[in-house]
Amino acid sequence: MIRHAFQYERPRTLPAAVVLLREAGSEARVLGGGSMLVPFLSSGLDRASLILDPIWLDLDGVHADARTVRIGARATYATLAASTVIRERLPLLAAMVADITGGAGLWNLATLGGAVCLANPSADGPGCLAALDARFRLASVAGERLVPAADFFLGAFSTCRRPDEILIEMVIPAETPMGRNSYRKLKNAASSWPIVTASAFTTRREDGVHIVRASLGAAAPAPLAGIWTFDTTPDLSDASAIADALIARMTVEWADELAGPGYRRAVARTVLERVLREMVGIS
Amino acid sequence: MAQTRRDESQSRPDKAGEPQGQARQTTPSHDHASGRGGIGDSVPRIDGLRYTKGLVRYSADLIPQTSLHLALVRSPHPRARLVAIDADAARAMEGVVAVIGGAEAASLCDPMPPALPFRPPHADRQVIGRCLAVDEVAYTAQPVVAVVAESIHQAEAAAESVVVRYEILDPVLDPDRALLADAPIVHPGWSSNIVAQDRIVAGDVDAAFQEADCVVRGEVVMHGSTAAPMETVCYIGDWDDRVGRLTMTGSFQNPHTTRWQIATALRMSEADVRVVAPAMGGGFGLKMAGHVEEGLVALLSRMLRRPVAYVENRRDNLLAHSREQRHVFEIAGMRDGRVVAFRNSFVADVGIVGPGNGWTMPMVTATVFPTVYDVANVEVSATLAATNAVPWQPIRGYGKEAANLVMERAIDSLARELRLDPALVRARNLLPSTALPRRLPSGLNVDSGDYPAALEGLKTLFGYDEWRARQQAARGTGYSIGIGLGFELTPEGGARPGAFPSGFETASIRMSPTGTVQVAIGVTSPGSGNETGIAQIVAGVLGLPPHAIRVLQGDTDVVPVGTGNASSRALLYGGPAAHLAAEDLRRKLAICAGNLLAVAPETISFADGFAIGPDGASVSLKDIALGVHTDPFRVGKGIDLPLEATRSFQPSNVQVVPDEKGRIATYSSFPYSVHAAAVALDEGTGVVKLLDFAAMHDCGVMVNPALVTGQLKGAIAMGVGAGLWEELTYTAGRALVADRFKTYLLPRSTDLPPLRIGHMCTPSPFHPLGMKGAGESGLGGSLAAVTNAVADALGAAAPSTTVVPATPPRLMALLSGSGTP
Amino acid sequence: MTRKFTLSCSINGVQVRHEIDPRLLLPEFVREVAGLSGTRMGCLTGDCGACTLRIDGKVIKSCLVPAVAAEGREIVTIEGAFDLDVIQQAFVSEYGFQCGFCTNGMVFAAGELLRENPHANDADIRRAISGNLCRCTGYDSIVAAVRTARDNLGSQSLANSPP
Repeated sequence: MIRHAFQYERPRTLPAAVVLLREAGSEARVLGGGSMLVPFLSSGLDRASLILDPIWLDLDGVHADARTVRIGARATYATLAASTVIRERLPLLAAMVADITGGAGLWNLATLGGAVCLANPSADGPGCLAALDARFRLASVAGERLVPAADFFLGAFSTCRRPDEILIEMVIPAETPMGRNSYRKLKNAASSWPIVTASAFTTRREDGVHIVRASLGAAAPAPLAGIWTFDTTPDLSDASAIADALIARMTVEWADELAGPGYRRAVARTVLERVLREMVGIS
Repeated sequence: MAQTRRDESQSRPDKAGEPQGQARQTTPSHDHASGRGGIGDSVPRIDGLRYTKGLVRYSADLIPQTSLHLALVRSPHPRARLVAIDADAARAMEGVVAVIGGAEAASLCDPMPPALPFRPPHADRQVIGRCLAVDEVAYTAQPVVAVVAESIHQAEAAAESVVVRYEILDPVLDPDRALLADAPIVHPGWSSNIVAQDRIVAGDVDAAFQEADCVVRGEVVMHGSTAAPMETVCYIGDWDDRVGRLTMTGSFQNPHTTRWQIATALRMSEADVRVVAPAMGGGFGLKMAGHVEEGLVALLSRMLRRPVAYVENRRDNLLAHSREQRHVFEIAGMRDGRVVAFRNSFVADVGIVGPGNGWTMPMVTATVFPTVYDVANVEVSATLAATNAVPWQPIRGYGKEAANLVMERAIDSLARELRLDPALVRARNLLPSTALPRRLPSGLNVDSGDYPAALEGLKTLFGYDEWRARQQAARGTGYSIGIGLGFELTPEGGARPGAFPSGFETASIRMSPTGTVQVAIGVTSPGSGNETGIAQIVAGVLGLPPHAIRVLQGDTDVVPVGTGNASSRALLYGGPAAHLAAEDLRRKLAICAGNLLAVAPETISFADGFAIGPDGASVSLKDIALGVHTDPFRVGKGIDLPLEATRSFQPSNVQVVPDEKGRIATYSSFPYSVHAAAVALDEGTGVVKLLDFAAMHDCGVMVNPALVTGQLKGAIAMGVGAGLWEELTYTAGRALVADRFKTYLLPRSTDLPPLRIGHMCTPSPFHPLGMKGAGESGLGGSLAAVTNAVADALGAAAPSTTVVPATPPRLMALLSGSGTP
Repeated sequence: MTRKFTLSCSINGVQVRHEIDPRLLLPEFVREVAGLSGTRMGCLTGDCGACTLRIDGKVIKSCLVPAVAAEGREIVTIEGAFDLDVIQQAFVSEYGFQCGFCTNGMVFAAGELLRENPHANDADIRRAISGNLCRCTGYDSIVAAVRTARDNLGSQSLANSPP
């Protein structure tokens, strides 16, 4: 039921893809899974002139080396859910993926890469990836760049990705084993999108220092994330301090059709505290 | 005396997965009451595999390849004057066949007449029945321009290029404002925005309030919700130019009403309009007659002399709305929990009045009080206000759900004030079975029931006392458990004088020369499976298996005049009509069998496809049928040929002559149910989780208990959704915000626990088969139960104003004391 | 005229080639061009699941797929999902549908679940069908149908039959 004519391309190589994107200008769209883009197109909300389907660019996989886990931009939630690497090395991400709703008909299609490029504040992935300190590899005719989450998510439906760039993969540091971790998502009901997400995990450096990374997603236009270090195992008061710090950064509250002004502000701390308490071992 | 049986379809829940369900496990669903497929047997759906294998054809599957497609330009303003329509660009676009506006349409057809015309002194009132707006638009999303093209893509693209200039007028968007003397009148030619008013009084209300120990006042504010069937509306008009005849195929819950409305609007003979309703992907009232698009598709097909199809998109489907009612109640009680008086006044914002009868639902609300309770002094006043909103579409519950919700909130409010258990207060006020039949203050004549037994049964089924203990144990955990009860009295079998048609249903049965049995019947199925129930009734009479009966529905050329699908009438009315017709046929067959077996017809019995004489000699129905048609002088001797019969059923419990108090009784049956919900309220976020749900239900004799259970559970799910999640939200200018299933939140499988059902059977004394309506029941009681459960969980934070639905943001505002919802 | 797109793909085991309007969504192609109307369209936002079919062996909400993206792929619709017969029988015996509009998607979702997890419990079943909306049943009878299909499949696991 798409009303307007558009060009559909399935380039065979990345160089061909980025040339197509450069030529198409601002009305080019890269098809992730399609779970958001295609409804936008069929309802007339998006008038893309070029749909670039990266199906042959070999971006579907999950790869790992000693230092990182790399998630292809076209890896579906089903792929992530089935990944042993993610389950073992990034249990926080595995928890986020396990909580995605929509059923197999969506899990087999929708991609984390597509979600981060859309940057809907009310989404599952961005907050979790911000906590994980993910980097986003973008390619264009000018070459590649690797952008940290803090610079990638600029605001609601806004990232630093230019229209002529394509997301290749998400690179997640995984050198040190993930310690205690927790992910929670607040939503009104199963049909609802995420209203607030919270993510937190600990790692331990070789010198014994405890590192905590935590984030608050969906509460503000862009995810809020931070890193904290502790000489001893973080406890409840540390958790509280982390919550204070993240909440203090929630200067702008995100509001949408399902949660108007004030609601996220009223509940964000509760969700965050639950995650942090779980992280420090108090449930 | 009521008989109790447990839900038959609740088979073998998993221990690990659903611990709540396992205690109620009973007989497997395949076990039939008699094993022969007659009344009382849970026969699986006839033609079931056609459904599960994707072979069933819904309306949109029947659009001819040659069909044109319709897209609509809808008004972005709630009230405006049409200044100019520029469609030149659209007309020039690829594939576009026609672009027409309201003036042209009005020159070719009349407005659709109202399904329920106004009566004196308002008989001259015009509804907004034009298929396209003329001069003025009266509501946001009113169709303004029709664009017809070879493909839907082309039609939609062209519709986007139509430019309409509007002069925006002051809209009336608030019912309170609508009722002010200086408010603009939203319907041209009317003298006010009051659509209807009603006042129902019983006893001496003022005196009772003065003598009461305790008076509690509260409000119930219901926001808009909608039926949201999985299949949207679809209409296909197919004009046959050779014979000047129009066939409308589509999602029609009331084919004969639609035939009359379309024929009238198009100035045609009803005989030249055929309305066909194929398999329907859910109706729930939304597809009842009276959408202006029905008339528009008919007009366009006749005008263009080609098939024209309209398939509603989901966004437009969610424009259908209802239930926006604000109730103020007062309940007066004694210290022991006895209710002595009840007062309720409410305003319903019914939007614009169109050709459908959705606006009549609040009139039904008023008639249901005080539901199942023995309250001598009752005063109800209802005001229906018109505003510049989309006309209400009918919805399951049909106003009764609002009455039950308000009554149940009032009972709980009184219980809380008196510090009494809500179950106890209910028990103290329920009418005993010996008090029935009995007329409600509105005049409705309640048939039968055993409300106290239902409450007791529910408490056991639900584990009421155990849940109260769990509630105590959960205190201080941050998750407050709330327990809510909800009684529902569900007047069914509506027979409102003036409705088209009203108050009877008809079945025609015939046996073919080869012995196949067809039943053509005026009631239709929205997908509920009532054809299986009708087949069972007929099969039981004729001694045939249900799948041997072919039920024909939803084709005005084929079936007798009937209402279609509304007010749980398919089996309630259609069942006895089919039963009577089948008995007539059986009498004929018995005479024929007597001729063949040389025995008296009265001695013939029927089983397994045979007519059996007293000595065991038998002849097959096939042989009788063939004999009647090929050897009528011998085999058919003594019967009226052919092997056909047509019979109607009219209920005895409807009274259209006003009694001494001016009351009439427009509903024939009164199923009821009582529901219990346990919820966990997350005190830190306002999110509610439904933990457990149980209901006791009594619709008298059940033809197919498994299908009744399925209907009831579906209604419960809808009531839970309406209570907790489903809300049509709008901008200040009344543009729809909740326009897809990401924002209009339907219950999903993981939102609901197993629903535990018990059935009782108190046969109706007014119905030949002892039946009461089933299908609509359950929505009001579940809505009330979850709403009461949320209030119970809120405890001291529960306000006197109950807002429905209880969304997390509303509840959080209450929990944090940051203001009223 | 809109430029046509030549779409070659396999539908229910048959290789097909059609000149199509490139703006079609996959369910529109399947219904209107291939003539297989068992795939229903309920929302076009990926929320209801009535349009579910299989692409390359995996269930997909097809309204999220432009028809052109089916190029070279294997589509199986409800009309060609012969491996799901036991599930379809169970949906009848357990009253797992009323209007039937969502049933296509429910059957496919159940099939994928039982292929991957032949011992799925009720919680697994509820999660597996949570992407599919049903407005009629309240879901209990659907859960029962999947449970019965699981039991009836027994050792003849779906994992051994081609998707």
